[in-house]
Amino acid sequence: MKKILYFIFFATIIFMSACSEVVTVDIPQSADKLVVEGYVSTETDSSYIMLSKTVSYYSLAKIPQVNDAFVKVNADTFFNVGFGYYKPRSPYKGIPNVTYNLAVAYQGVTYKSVSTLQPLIKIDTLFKIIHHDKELIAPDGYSLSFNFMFDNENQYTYFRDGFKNDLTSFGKDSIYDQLVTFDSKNSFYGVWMPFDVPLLRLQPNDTALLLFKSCDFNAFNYYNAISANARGGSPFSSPPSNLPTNITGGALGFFAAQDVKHYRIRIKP
Amino acid sequence: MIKKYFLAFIILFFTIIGFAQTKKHTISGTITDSKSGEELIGASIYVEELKTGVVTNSYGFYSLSLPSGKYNIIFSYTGFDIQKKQIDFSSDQKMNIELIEKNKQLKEVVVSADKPDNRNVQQTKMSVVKLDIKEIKKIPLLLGEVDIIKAIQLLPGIQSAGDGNTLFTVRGGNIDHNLVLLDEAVVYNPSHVLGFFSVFNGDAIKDFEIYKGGIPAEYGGRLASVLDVRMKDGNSKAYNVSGGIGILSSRLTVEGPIVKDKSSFIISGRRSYFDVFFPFSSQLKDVTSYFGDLNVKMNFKLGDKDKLFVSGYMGRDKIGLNSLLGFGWGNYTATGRWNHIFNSRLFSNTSAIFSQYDYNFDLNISDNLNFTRANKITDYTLKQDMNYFFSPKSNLKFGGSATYHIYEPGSIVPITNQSAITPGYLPKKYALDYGAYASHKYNLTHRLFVEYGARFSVFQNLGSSSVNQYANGIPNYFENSQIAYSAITGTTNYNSGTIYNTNFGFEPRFNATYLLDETSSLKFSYNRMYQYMHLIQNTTFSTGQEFWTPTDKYIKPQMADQIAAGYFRNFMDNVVEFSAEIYYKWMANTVEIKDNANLQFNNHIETEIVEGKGRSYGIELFVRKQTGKTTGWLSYTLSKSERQADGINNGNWYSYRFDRTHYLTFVLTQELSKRVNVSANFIYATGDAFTPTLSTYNVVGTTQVLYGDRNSARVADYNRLDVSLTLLQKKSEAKPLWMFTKRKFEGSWVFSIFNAYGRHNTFTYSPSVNSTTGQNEVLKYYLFGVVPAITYNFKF
Repeated sequence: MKKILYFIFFATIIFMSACSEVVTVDIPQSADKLVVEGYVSTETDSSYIMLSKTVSYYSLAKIPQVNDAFVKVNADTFFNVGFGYYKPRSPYKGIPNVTYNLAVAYQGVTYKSVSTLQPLIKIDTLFKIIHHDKELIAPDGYSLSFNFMFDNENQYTYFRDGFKNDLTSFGKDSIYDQLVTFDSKNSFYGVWMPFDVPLLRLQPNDTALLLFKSCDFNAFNYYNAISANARGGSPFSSPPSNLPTNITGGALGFFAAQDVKHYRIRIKP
Repeated sequence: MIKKYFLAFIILFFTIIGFAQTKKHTISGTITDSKSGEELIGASIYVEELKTGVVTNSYGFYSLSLPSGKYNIIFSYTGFDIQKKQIDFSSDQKMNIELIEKNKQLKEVVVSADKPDNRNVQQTKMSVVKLDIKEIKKIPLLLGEVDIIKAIQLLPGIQSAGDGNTLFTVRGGNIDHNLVLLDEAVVYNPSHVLGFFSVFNGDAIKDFEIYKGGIPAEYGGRLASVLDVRMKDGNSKAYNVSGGIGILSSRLTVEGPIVKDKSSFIISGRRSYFDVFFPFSSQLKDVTSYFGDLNVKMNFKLGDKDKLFVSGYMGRDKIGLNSLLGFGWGNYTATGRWNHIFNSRLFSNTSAIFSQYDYNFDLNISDNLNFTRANKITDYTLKQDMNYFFSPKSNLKFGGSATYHIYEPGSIVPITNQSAITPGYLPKKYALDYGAYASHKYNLTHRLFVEYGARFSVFQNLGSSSVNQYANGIPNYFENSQIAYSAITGTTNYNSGTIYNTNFGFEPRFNATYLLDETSSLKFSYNRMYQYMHLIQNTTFSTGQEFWTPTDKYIKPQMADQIAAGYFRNFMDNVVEFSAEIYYKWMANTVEIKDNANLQFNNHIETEIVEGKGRSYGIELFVRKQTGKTTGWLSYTLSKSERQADGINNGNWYSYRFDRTHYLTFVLTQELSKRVNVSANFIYATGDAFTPTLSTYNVVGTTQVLYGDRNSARVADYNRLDVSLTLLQKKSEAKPLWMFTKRKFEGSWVFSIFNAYGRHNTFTYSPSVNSTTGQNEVLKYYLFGVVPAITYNFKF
């Protein structure tokens, strides 16, 4: 009887453990849509508009780039430089507290968007470097944390990328697609906010490069939606949703004016 | 408008009650199980000469008033032998009746033929189903666990919210539109282990009913249904031990008299032990998972007219991965009830009820990145119910209740001192929820019976609270085919106890039955329901991350109107019953989660939801045979359930996620011999609605999916067969434990197979990318293959 019970138990576990398989689903037909990804940045000559299109879900074709559109941001024309990118004449630099209006004319339709360049929150100069032994899934080494404080009640910002020794991005397993958003409305206004870069373990002489960008409310919502969607589908994930857009006219994507700052920290031996 | 309805109701109410007053004599008392002393809910007291009768209320009490004379009175209850007595109604009398389980009759009792009654045809109730716990124990269910929620999902109009899941939907309503009560206390999350088990321990349950429509006026607060579960009181005559040993969980129940025939207790517990076996599996060795629950109840007879009950439930779940992450949740309820018989016609129940549900999520990535996130809801309720029995033709119920709700929507607290996480607390919310009701059941003629009533409900938000203010006074608005956030312009603070927002609703209820003949009837019902608290849930599984939020300045109460009509017919001396019901339900102010909602630790949750509408309609067919060696039922539902909200699918109506056009269930139990039963269930359902993928595009260095309209496609149809074999051991005289005297020992083996032919029924579809080829693909998630189980049950 004992053997039977063990057999039944393990059979149960095995059967319950199997949980996904690939299926073929009929995909409804839909027209290709224009995709806009545009930034006005406070870093010189870092502003650009990128245009592409959607492709059918099962298509093996590469994402089509759009190089024949007419693009303007306020009074400045952005010129096509290939690969779907449009850039303004050099030098070009975004200015805090200015509102930027995007207009993209493509195949007889004009797509518009607007974004105000918010100044970035103040990141405290204090970066804490803490040594850790190996724990759970994190290897031994040094972790990095930093402090910042919102000094404006309506501020938003996000931590975009982290690079270890300018080569390898880190934290990808725990920061969904490298996006971590901060919102002053969710309780952090007026207090120092410590943030630890999850799972990052640096060794002596390693260099960490962190990128912070300010954003307006629409861009903040967009980044949050990207993070939520990146969690993948499973019985436990949120129902599928299309990303919001701040582009009018039926295009996908978003346009954001951003204050950008880089921070580079080296672990001393 | 409300005043007009209310006035008409009051005039009708007192006119009919006035007609009902004539000089009569009354017998009253309780009907109990002779073996255990348990009061029997819904036992029938039938007057043969007048072809009318009454049933016992939720506390086993009955009252029958008739003009002077001698009458043959029949006392009956399913699974018990009928007792027939000739009673002289020359004065008021008290008469407690003990019914005897089949095949255990005593000599002095007059026993008539054992045939089911035609109550299902004659009662004014419709859209209500009652199953016998003993019958449920024969149905093959997941992992062999006796589960009333899984059993009711085999009935028409009640459907599972996912394969093997105890969350359920009723007549196209949402999961949170069901009021789940355990001894009158609200159970906010009736699930264990992600929904695979319900919180109801079959050994501790005496009786339950589920109302899908025609909901009586004493119930309120949810739109779609009421599942009213009553715990056993405990055997007041002898000590009993019963239990079951299963593959993944076991249970044990002890009950007995505190003072024989005057007071009793029951303690019933369950504990899973998946975690004991996980280390043997390479896939699950790091997983921790268990659930446990405990039901306790005591009751005391304080004389002929008073009885006191105290009951409680506590249940806890824990699921985790090493010490890295874990989540857990628990329900706690406590109920104190005082039954008082003012006189032979007036029965009173006073209840004080506590209910609490909490959830926590722990993440412990490193010693400087760790936290516990938690939310909780706590209720304190006082409730008064009165029942006045004018005559078999006329029965009045009235009462009221008041509940104080405390919502704790979220907290984040670091686990260790080194953690970089700053403690954060979302402000608590407080609300007062109260209402009064009255309903009157009256036989207008010998063929036409009505039950009419109303409930008046009030919901008030209380301070201390901090309420967001929005531009234009609304949290979000519709612009450029999207829902846009309104800017928060400030907050308003309210002091403790200040009422800052009030909502109320008048909820008429009406049921009517027209008897075509002794075995067939036509029925009609209408009910309006208000729901003042809403489950905010962005996933289908009960992970516990969902939380309840109250109606407030920005979130309106949900409301539903439902009409239903039905034809009821019994065949073969009531052995076979048939019913056909049609219904239509309108829902207003439904809470719809908007696309890309941010529900986690959000202090402006009103910006993440939109107000919607719903409609559902359908036809339900049901054939059941309850007695004999072959029992079971066939149920079929043809239905549609849709939602509509600005900003979702361009404002067009779309299918509810669990809209299933066809839902067919077949349950069959065959007694092969006195000790061998076989049983089978079969379910067929239209596939659930899902949101299809259309195309992909690149943005922010990521590949994103463009989806079609919400819930505009269907997963594959669902079908499943479950089978079981029950072997009853020969009863034996034995001394089971050192502390007991020699007694009868009953044991049984239950072998069951859930999903016998191993169909991989779809839980959901999800887009994915093949890690080898980079090709987009669609993954089908399913939860079960073949799941065999074995359980040994015992009782002594």
